[in-house]
Amino acid sequence: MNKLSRSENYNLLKNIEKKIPKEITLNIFKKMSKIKFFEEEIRDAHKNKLTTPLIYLSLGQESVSASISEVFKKPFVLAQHRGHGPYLSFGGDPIKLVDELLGLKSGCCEGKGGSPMIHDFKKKIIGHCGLVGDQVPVAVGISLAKKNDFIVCFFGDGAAEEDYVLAALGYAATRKLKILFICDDNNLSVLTPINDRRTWEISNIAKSFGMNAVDIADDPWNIYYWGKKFKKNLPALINIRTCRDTWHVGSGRDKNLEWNRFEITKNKLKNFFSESLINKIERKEKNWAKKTVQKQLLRLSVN
Amino acid sequence: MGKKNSSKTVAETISELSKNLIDKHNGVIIGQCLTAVGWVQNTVPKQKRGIYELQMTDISGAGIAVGCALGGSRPVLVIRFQSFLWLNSSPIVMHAGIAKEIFGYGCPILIRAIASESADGQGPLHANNYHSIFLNVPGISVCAPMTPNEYRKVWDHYLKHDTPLLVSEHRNSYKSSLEIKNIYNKSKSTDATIFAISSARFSAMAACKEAENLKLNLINIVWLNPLKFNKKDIETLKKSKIGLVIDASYEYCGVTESVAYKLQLLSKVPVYAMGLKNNLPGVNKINENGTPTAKEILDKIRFLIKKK
Repeated sequence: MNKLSRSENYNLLKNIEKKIPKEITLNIFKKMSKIKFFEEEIRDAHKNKLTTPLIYLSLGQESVSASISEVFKKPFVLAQHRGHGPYLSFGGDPIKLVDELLGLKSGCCEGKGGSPMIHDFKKKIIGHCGLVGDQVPVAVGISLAKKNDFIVCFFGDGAAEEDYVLAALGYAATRKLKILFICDDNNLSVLTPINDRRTWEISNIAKSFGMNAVDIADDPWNIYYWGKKFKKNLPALINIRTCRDTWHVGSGRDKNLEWNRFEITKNKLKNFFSESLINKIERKEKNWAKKTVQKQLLRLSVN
Repeated sequence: MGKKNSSKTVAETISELSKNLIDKHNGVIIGQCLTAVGWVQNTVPKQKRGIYELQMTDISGAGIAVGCALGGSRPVLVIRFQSFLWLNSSPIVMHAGIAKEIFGYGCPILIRAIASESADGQGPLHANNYHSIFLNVPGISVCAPMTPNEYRKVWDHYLKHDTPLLVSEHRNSYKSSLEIKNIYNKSKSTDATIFAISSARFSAMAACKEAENLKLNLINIVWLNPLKFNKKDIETLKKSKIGLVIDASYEYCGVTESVAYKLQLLSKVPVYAMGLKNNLPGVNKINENGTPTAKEILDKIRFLIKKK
C-alpha cells in the first residue's frame, strides 16, 4: 500500500469550499467546535477520574459527522464506539450524554452502557452494542424496514475488515437501500496501523459491489460535497482519512496529530469570514461545553 | 394425553401465523433459502411479499433482522438448522438481547431455530439442539412449543412484547397436530415424574403409554426462560420417588441439568437429567445420538428407582 496515501489533502477537490453555501460552512464549523470543546471537557474530567473509565473521544475527527449532519436532516444514525461526535452532530441530548459518561441513572443508558453505547432513540440515533462493526448490518436492517428514511452509518477502518460488515455492504447494494456508509478511517485499529493489517481499500470493495464510493481526507467541504452528491444515488460509501487525537480508549495522547483538521479548517474560514466571527463561534461553543459538562459534574459531587 | 384437536399440523400453523404476521402486523420473514427446497419444511407461506431472502452470510443476516426490528418491523428470523445459531447468535445476543436493558427500547425479533435428529440424515453438523446456550444470557426469552396451540400462544406472546424470543422448534413436531397434555397419576405415590422438553415430549408421552407396572406423571415444559412451575407440579413431584427432566439437547451443563437442580431444590426429591450424550451424532442410524426414546426413558427410570 502507498504509505503516502494518508495526507491532509488526500484526493481532495480543490476550491470546493467556494461552492458550498456560507450558511452550511458556518453550521459545520459550529458543530466541529461543539464536538471539540465538549470532548476536551470530557477528556479533562476523565483525567481527573470523574467519568467512567471507558471513554472513546472524537477529538481530531470532528469534521466527519459535523459535515455529514448538514447533508442529512433527521436520518437514522448508527455510530460506532467512538460516537460522541455523531451523537452531538445529529442533535443527541448533551445532558444525557454527559450523565451517561458520569455513570448516572439520568444518562441515555441509565449509566449502564457508558461511552461506547450512547443513543438517543427519539432522535433516531441508535445505540451501539460494543461489538466492532455490529451496527453496519443493523443499519441495513433498519433501512429494509424504513425504506423512505435515510440512514447514515459510521464505522471505523478496523470494522471495515469484519466479514459481516462486508456482507452487509453487499446486501445494501443488492437491495439498493438508502444508506450512506461512512468509514471513519483514522488508520488505527486500537494502535495497529492499516498497513500491518490489509492491502485493500474499503472504497474499492464498495465500488465492486456496485455502489458509489470515494476515498478522501477529512476536509469538511469535500465531505459535504460528496455526501450531497451521493445522497441522490444511494447506497454509497465515503472513506474519510482522519486523525485520532487521543488513545483508542481514554484521555491520553501518544503523539502529535498527523494533521490538525480543526486548525486547517479555521484558517480556511478566514477567506470567507472575519476573524472576530470565527473567534466568537469558538468562544460560544467553548462556554457552552464548559457550562454543560461542569453543571453535570456538580451533580456528581452532590450525588 | 395426546389429543388430536387441531385440523392443522404444527408446520401449517407456523405458515399460517407467518402469513398473518405479514398481512396484519408489519411482519417480515427473513432467512436463507426460504423460498426453495420445500419452503423450510412447509413452514413459510408460499409468497414473495414480506419474505426477504438473505445472502448466505449468517452473522450479517441476523444483524439485518435485528435492524428490521429496530426499524419498526416484526421480523421472524428463520434459522434452518440450530447448528447455524453459533454463527447467528452474535447480533441476537449482543444487540437484540441487550437493547431493552441498556438502551431502554425494545427489539422485537422472533428467532425460529429448527432442531432435528441426525437419523433424518442431518449428521453431526445439521442435527442437534442448542437452546440451552441461550438460557445462559440475559434479555432473551426461550421456548420450545411442540403443538399447534402452543405455537399460537407463543406467537401471541411475541406480538404483545418487544423483546427477542428464541423459539426452539423441532422437525419431529412439524407433521403433528396433537395437543399434548400433562398426565397426573391419581395414585397416592408414584414412581417418577417426568418433566419433558422439546421433541422429548413425544417420547415421554409414548413412555407413559408403555409404562406397564410403573406409575408415572408427565409434565410438559414449553417455556424455558422464564421457567415457572405451578404448585400442582411440585406437589406431584413430591409424591414421586424420583423426578426426571428430559430434553432433545445435550445433557451436560444443559437445560436438563439446570431444571433438575431447580426442581430438586423446590421438592427435596432427587431429580435427574436425561438428554443427548456428550458426543456428536453421525449420519448413520447406528451412530445416532438423538432425542431419548420411550424405551431409553423407561430403562433409565427403572435403573434410577432400583439404585435408590
